[in-house]
Amino acid sequence: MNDTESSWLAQAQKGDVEAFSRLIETYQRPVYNLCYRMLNDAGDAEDAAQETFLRAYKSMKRYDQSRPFPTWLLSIAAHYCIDQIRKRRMAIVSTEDLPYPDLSDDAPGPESVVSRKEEQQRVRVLLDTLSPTDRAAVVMYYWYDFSYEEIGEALSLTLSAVKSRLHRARLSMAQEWIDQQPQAGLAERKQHGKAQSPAF
Amino acid sequence: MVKPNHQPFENWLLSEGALTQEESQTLQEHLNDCETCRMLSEALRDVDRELRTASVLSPAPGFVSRWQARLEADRLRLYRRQTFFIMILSIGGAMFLLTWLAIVLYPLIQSPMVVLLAVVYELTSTLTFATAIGEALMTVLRTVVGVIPPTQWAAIWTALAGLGALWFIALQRLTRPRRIIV
Repeated sequence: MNDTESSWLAQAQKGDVEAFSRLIETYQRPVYNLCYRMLNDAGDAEDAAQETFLRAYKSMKRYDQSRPFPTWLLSIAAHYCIDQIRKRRMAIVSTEDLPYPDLSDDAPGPESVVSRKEEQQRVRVLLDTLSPTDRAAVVMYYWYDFSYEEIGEALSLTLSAVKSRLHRARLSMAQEWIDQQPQAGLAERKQHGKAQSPAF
Repeated sequence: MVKPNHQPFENWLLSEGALTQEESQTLQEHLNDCETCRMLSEALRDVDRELRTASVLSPAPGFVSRWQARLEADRLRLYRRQTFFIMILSIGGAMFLLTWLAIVLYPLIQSPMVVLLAVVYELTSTLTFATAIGEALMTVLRTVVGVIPPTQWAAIWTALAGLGALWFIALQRLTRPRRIIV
């Protein structure tokens, strides 16, 4: 974190909305991305990201500057999204019907848009196989290069729990990936994955 | 026929830590022979690549403005809630006071003379008590003035003035509204 951000943080802790707005400009993308990957819906992700920043703003006085700000912010976002997923668990939503986020900024050509949508769909299917906490851990691990310690701190998990969750999540996603591939040996893999892995 | 045990190889494939040379060789040999574990290995590699190369999504433009509007709406909601709470408290207090007054004033309407005499008696008693207290205090003061030297009086008054100033400053700081820079 540079001096400018530290200065914004200090001002934001005194209630300065403008300084906090600068922090939002800096961190809106990672927070939104986490929310989108967790909730699979652009509208819900926007709402969750907004709520995350609102909660962060209200809790700024309690924020400990010795802790990395992005970790703290993503921790708020992840916990909020986990709660949202648990709340809406009763409602069954088909992933096919969910809208895609606005990709026009980074993908100008129609082919690029299609390619990006296909990529989003593949990622969505993989993340869909995971529990909310595992999903948050995977997003932090792959997109933000968080260490196990940082993931543990953000999700209030022990180091061994983080390792175990990531281990389980990677296996689950690999199995889903194999299931998606139209090739021989599918039945054998399924049997292997389910019968030979007593730990899962 | 004995089924092959894939578990150790699966753990090695999922392990983030580096394998020893011997373990790597054993794993490679197993992957050459085992279609199942080879598929898992390839799937893990593909999933890792897929996730690591997936883009970071951005919200629609104007995210900060929308957040500021949301903050304003949130403050307004809080203000309305507080106003409603204060209003309910005030109405409740007023109703309680009116009820109490009605109970107290009811005998006055029924027999005003008795109440008037009671009031006069209470006032007289209070005045007599206050006069007695005043005389006692004056006696104590006269005695104390004679005992305490003028320098000590000056010190006492200075200390009292200091405490008064401290109280005033503390009151100012506590009652001043929190400043929010917008």
